[in-house]
Amino acid sequence: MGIRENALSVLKKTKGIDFKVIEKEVNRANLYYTKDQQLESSLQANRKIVEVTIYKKCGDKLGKHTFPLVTDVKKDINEKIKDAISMCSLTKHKTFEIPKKVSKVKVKIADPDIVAAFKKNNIEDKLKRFALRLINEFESYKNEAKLNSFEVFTSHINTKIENSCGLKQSSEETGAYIELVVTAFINGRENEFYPRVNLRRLNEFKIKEAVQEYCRTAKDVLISYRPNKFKGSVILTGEAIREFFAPELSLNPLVMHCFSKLKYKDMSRYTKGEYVTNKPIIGDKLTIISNPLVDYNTGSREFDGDGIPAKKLTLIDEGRFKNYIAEKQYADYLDQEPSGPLGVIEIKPGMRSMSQVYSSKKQVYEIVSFSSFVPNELSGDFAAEIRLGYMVERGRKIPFKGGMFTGNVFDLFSNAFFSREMIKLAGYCGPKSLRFENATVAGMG
Amino acid sequence: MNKLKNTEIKKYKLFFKKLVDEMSQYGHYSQVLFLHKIKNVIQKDDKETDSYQLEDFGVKLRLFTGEHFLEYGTSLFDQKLLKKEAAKLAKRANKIKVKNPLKIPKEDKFLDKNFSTKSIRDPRRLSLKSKIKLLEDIHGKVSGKSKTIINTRAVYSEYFETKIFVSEDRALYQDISGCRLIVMPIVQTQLGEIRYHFEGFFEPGCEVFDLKPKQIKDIVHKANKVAEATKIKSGKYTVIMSPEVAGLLAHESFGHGFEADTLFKGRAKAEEYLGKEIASEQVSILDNPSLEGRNGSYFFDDEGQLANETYLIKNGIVKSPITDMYSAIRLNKERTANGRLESFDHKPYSRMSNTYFAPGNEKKESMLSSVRDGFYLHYSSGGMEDPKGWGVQIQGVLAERIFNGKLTGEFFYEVGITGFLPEILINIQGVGKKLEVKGAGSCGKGHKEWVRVSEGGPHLKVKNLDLA
Repeated sequence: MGIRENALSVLKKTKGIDFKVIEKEVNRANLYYTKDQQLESSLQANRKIVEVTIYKKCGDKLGKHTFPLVTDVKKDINEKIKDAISMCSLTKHKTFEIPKKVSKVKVKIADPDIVAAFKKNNIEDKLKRFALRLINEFESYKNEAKLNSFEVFTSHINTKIENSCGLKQSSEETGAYIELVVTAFINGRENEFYPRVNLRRLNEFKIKEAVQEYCRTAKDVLISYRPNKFKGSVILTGEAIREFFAPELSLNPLVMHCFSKLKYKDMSRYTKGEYVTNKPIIGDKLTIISNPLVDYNTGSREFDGDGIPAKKLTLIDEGRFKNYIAEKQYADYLDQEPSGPLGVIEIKPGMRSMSQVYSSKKQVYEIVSFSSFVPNELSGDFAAEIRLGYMVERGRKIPFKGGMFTGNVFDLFSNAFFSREMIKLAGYCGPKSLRFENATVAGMG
Repeated sequence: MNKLKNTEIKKYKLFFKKLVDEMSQYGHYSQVLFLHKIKNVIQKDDKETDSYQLEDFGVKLRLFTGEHFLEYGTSLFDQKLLKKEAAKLAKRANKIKVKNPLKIPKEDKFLDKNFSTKSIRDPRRLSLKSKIKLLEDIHGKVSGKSKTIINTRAVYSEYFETKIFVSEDRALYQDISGCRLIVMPIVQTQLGEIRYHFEGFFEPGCEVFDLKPKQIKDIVHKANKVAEATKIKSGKYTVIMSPEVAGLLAHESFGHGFEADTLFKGRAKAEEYLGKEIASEQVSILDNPSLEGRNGSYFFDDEGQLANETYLIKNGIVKSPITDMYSAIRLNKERTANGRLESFDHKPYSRMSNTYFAPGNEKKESMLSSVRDGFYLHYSSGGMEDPKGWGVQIQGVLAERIFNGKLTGEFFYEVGITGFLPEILINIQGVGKKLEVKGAGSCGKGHKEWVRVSEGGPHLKVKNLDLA
């Protein structure tokens, strides 16, 4: 009997409570290559996480406490449950129902190759072959750029959820994360590009195409200039548009305000059916869909933290707020169905072609990469340093680096245009480019 | 989580030494790191009170082949399994032929030490019920205290961290605790925009709850100011940085660029400045995990190096990088206690701990009075490193206008700081007397590998700073 089984056996015998048990088994294999492609470290690890949530009615309130278990000793489990029950009497929630048995949805989020490699215990060999191919591909660019260093991370995760109301869910997923430092050089000067790629399947990483693009981008960084202050049309493309809608360290404020938890706490600015922007929309009307069912996308998942199955959900429709993302507790409070997890952010395309998006009599700025896009999730304000951008004028593109793209997302979308060409990236499926009018880049001079 | 008894510590150390012996049977340098971390979190807002616990528990076995590391980590504490895996690592390493193996330096004398954090009010001795009451009390003093405040979040978190490190030449144990308090009033502007103000506090024990009435008053005052704050007109300004903002500049902009693994890869612009002047004589930046009772404090790093202070910049001259074991050997630099990892299933990197500007001679008041027209920068929500380009990104700054040497009460929300780091450092014109290292956050390497850190400094006066 393992930790999960022992916990379930003790919990089922404990009277007067409801519970949820989540078990995650995570296997990892990573390779870290340092300067000149020397292997610095090879790591393999496994981790089992068992997390228990106890729910207990305390008068007209519901107590809730979550804790992890690292032991399978029943006496210790009992003690932890006792502590959690006493914590329940101290935490105060308006009552809500524990989810009951639910249907299951399937989405492909596990790479059969990574799964097999972990099972056969030859994942390290697989990663070394991948690394060698990557290193070799850079040989063709050795006079202008090099692979300075890189790291490859893979994971295989099995998740099980079970609660006291008969709900059971399980999923298997994989992840591959590649982080590279590509250095371009010319006449004793050098500069770098630092791409990070998140995937479900390792073989989705097209080495030849990626290396070509990274070397070209690193060369542009090398010859870039430091921009002056600019006010006008700003276009987001590539990684910048992905990071704008699906930032890695936070949520886009447009999405953040769609959470029912925020609404319940009086912190959401949205009202159903009303425009989400600060000013009337004169550009393309924004439509955002949460889609957790996109095969092999890192933004996809089969169920949320309560085991509620994933589904596609329109959050903002033609500029107006439509649906909340709601976990069971806050769905109950707002008297609606739970939505399942947030998924891949899908943006409806616009009418303009890529060349129309760029078309301008005046100078426009294109941003392809941020240092890190971390907006204020509540106010919508942001100030993000530009890792690489282009000043575009009469068909010419001159690279720049530095300065800050600043503004407020709720202001910008009143005058924005999307391309009709689409792109699929980690956590984002939508237009290839997005143009904001009257946007600001704070310069460095 | 109770502290381990001495007899238990001894037992663990003995077992881990056996694993080290197993791994080094063919002469390879080996180490074992055991970690157990518990974090309790209580959150209170106007609608509900919530609590949860997080736990991280595992063992890492690590062996150096003379060229690279082989690492194995597991959350299963099974002695048989660990012995088997230790033997497997030794056999794998023995098959790898290394031409000119690198050597890890060893101590002549075996080092056996135990360390523990000291706090005024030990969080283990106070019940969770009492902590909830203290949190509710603070929440109640801010919630609804002005009509602009629409909700107030108060979050208390405490961590208890046990680590045991064993290698051929040392057996170390440390027990660290820390308590954080965040008070965050959410406000609504007249135009309906939702904003927040936050204040974070850190102490090694429950003394973190001991907020003075003036501090509470200041939280409510600033929340009101955030609600009426406007946007700054971008440009170059003379500013006074608070210790929090100064610390972020030291950490994000300089510290990351002076991590030895980044330096070894040739990714750090700092390399061009080693031994050279980068700022005026009054400017020094340190990284110091041995600073007592701060969020980034520890007694030894995750590779068994005892904590010490490192001058990154001393009197304006760029000095030594912070190092992990691998980078120190490769670069032939002195080991500093900065080899840190997120958990047992991660690799250690060169990482900062408590990073701060050293105090200077000036009074805050005289620095303020010397500014005719500029800004006081209260705090920031974060930043991002750019070690190769030394571009600066600090975002979410709350700024207050200074006019004729006085704070005006006119606030600006979500200001960004940008620029080229050497230009900012050379423009530091004044360094305050009083050192404050209050940061209570976490730091990632890029977007991953999170470790707890702190940052700070005295007040700094900087001219020609790009604000947007």
